[in-house]
Amino acid sequence: MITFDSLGSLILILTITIPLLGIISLLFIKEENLSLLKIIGLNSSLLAFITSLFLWFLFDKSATGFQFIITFNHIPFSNIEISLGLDGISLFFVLLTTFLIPVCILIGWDRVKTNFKIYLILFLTLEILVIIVFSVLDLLIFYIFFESVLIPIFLIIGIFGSRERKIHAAYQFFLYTLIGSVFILLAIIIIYLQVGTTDLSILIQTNFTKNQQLILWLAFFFSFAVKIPIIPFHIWLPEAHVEAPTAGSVILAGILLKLGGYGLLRFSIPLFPDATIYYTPLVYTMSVIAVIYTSLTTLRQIDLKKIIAYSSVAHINFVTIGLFTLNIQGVEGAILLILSHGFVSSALFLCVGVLYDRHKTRILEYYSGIAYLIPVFAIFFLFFIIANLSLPGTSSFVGEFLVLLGVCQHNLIVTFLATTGIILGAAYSVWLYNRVIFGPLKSEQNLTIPIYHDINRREFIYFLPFVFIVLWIGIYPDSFLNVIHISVSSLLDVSFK
Amino acid sequence: MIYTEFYIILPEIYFITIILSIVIFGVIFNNETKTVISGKNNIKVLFLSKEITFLIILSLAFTSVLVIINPYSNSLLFNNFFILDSIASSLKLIILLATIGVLFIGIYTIFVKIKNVDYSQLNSTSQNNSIIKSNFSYGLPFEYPVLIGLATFGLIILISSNDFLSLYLTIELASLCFYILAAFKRSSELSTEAGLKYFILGAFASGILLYGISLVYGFTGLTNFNDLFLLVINNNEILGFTTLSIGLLFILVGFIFKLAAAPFHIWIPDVYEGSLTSVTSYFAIVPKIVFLGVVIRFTLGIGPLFIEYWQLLFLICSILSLGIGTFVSLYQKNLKRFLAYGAVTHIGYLLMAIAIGSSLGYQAVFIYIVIYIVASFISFGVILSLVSKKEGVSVNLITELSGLAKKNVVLAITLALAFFSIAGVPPLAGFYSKYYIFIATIQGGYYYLAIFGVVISVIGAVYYLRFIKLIFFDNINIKQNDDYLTISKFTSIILGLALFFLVFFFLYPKPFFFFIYNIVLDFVL
Repeated sequence: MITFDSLGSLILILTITIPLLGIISLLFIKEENLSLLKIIGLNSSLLAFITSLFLWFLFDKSATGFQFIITFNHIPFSNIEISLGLDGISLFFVLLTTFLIPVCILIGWDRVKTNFKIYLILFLTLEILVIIVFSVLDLLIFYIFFESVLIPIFLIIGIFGSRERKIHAAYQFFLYTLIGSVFILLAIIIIYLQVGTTDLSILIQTNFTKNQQLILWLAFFFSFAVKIPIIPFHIWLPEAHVEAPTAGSVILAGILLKLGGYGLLRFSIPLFPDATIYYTPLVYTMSVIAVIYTSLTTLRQIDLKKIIAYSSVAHINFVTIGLFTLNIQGVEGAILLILSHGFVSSALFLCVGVLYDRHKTRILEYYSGIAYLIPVFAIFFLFFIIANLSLPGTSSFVGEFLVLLGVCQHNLIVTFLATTGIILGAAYSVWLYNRVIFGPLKSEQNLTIPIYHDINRREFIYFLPFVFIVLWIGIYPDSFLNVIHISVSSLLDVSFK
Repeated sequence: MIYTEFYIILPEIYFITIILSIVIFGVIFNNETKTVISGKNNIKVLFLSKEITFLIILSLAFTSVLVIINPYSNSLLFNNFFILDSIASSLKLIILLATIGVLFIGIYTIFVKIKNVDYSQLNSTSQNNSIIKSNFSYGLPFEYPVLIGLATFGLIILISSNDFLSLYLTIELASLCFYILAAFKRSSELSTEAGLKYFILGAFASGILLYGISLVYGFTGLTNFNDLFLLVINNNEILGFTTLSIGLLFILVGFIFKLAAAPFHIWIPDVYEGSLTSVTSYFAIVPKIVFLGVVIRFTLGIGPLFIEYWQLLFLICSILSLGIGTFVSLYQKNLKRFLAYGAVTHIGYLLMAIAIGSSLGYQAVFIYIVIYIVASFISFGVILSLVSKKEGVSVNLITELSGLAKKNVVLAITLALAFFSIAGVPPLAGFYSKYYIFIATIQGGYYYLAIFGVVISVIGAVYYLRFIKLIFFDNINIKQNDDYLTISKFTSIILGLALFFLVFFFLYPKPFFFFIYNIVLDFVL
């Protein structure tokens, strides 16, 4: 029924079952017993994080193919046999997930007073679903869990969101994603009926005819384009981010946006190589438009979270430019940029969350001169803004540099336009920081909020790992890159000879 | 031998004996009401309804055991009137279990234990036992479970009928019980209207069915499915004759009416809305199984050679059903009418799968039916368990479901998951049912139909999302100070089992798919 490959596969199963045990034990605890809920929730997510660190240690950097494989015999006569396994790329996505969920639980530690049990259960469910999405090696199961992530996020935005427009935002999010997803369902069915199985290792080696590839790639692309998001399918993102609670934004930016990029990398590019090359100009155009458009739009926004949401869109579209360069520098840069975006954007949302906590407003006009009031926070915010605009020494610089290096080998115009995007990124980041942190204190501020609390110990603890990781990737990216070398080069070699 | 044949239909004989003895017992020993004296309160409840309900549930359980352990299989009985094959015995089992579930979830309408009584009404002269003045209905007379039992009996025999005569007789037996059930609440004019509409339209459709049968008989001289199959195989040109095709068309139209597919679905919203909620749950769950089984037996038994005739009909009906069901249900305010149009949509999907005609299509039909039954248990079960203390079971408008999460979180989550499953969101079981239907459609080559189907399922998902929004996020509720009775333990067992099946189906679907695969292959080959 279930077969394990090595010790690592046992640990992979543990990473999935520990949050599951957490959920089951949470179901039996009463809502009033807050401290016990907190202990169990935090501990199960931290344990999952530690077990995933073990996965990193046990990972063999010189082996091709997938490691830590577990196989379930699902429906034998329909040829559906599910395997879970990791390779270099998925490893870091899983680590990102297990890192972000404890942070989200810590965010809601004192803030969520009612329904804390539902909060914990939703986040732990999300963790399980997303880990399975990133580690499954079967197309149908990937699709099932890819879409099932919608349910917890819909409930999180709806129950814990902060404004009255939250229902509208939750609807938009759900429906955009659902419409995108039905086409990929039909494409999966067509593939299944042609090949007879949906196992990834077999699908990589099948040759589809060029016309088939063109249509199937397009069907896959609709679904991923909504998740990434690529202009013109991006409308749900600013709405969802503004309405979601801080933890919801962290998860949206940190994990859900990665699903689209991961899907492109794992499924679209290897399975349909001819279509990828055919559609590359389309993707380049849409991504470059997205980078420049969102960076310019950010300059006009008045809501803090919308600014960061749009900047997040800009960074992810950089990633898609990198993914479609189809050489090692570009793809590795794209993966590193996705990871760094996961940390930097989540940290920026955390900063905005801190500000929202104190002021209960996110409109830019009310903020000025924060540096006088909460200087430690100003330092953290400065660091993440610098990371956002890709200063050398931070992780986004490494990613963007590699991406530009990759694009340069193909197409100079796109390189030029993308670099303009970086400059615009610097523009809005620095301007945001200036307006919020520096400048004179507004008199209304002094009257409305008598006592200011700087970053307390809990917030300091969850900011610090982000700083550490951003600096680590920025200064010594090789420790991350040498894990993904073999996987990326084998992916590119097998499909594009 | 005649004796062996009676052994083979032992489950049916047992069941009808029990029901008839219960009818006789109930008629003789039933007083209209009895008085239950407990403390200061004198309450009148209807006599015997609770005991008879449990007796019938037990007899259904025993009948299903008899069906499972039946050592005979694949036999033709009584001069080819009845057939017992894999599809018949498995569908019998599903029908019996579904009826047990329906009786369980409707249990509060049959009898209620009143715990909190309006004491201000009780200070009248206590010489004669005074009736509590409230709008509460005490329950249903004992004929309700008996009628459901009789209808189920008719449906069980319908599944194994192999001849047009037995088909028609059993359809009429079941339909008569349905007509009475639809009009069961004598004091409500809505219910009487529902029963009358159902009776008239149902009789008309049965008339059309009978006319078709008589045309076929008049032309061929045969009524048996096996004989007709042999006739059609041996002469291919026979279908060119107009009389025969008109006859077959009328028969199919009769079936489609009973199934409530568009464009013959007009009776469904009124009947569902007017009947008692427990009766609506029975209508929504059980007859669909049976008539789909009959259609499959008919199309596969006689039909495979004249597939062009019925395939186009079913395709058109399914497209119309999907379109009408989805778009009209977006405008409904009444909960039961909404569920009625939802049922039309489901029938649309099922007809799409039948119309394809491949064995994968039939597998998809069975998988869809079972998962649809389970999801219907939950949706009707939750509606039936919102029994308010003053007015009984009366969830009429959709907005009355709002704010359920504040009142009873567990029920709210159950209903939300059931709606997500019906909408087809993975990884719940409803996704698998839709997935199989789309596999069958694409394998048959109908790409545009599949695209239409997925677009329709997204549009339907919009409205189910609205339900979930109402349940969780809204605070308006028309009945402000309403207290609900605690849910009965039978209903909670059914809800729990159904929810468990829906949520954890994706972990181990192997035995279920195996079961259905075996049934269909047995039948097709």
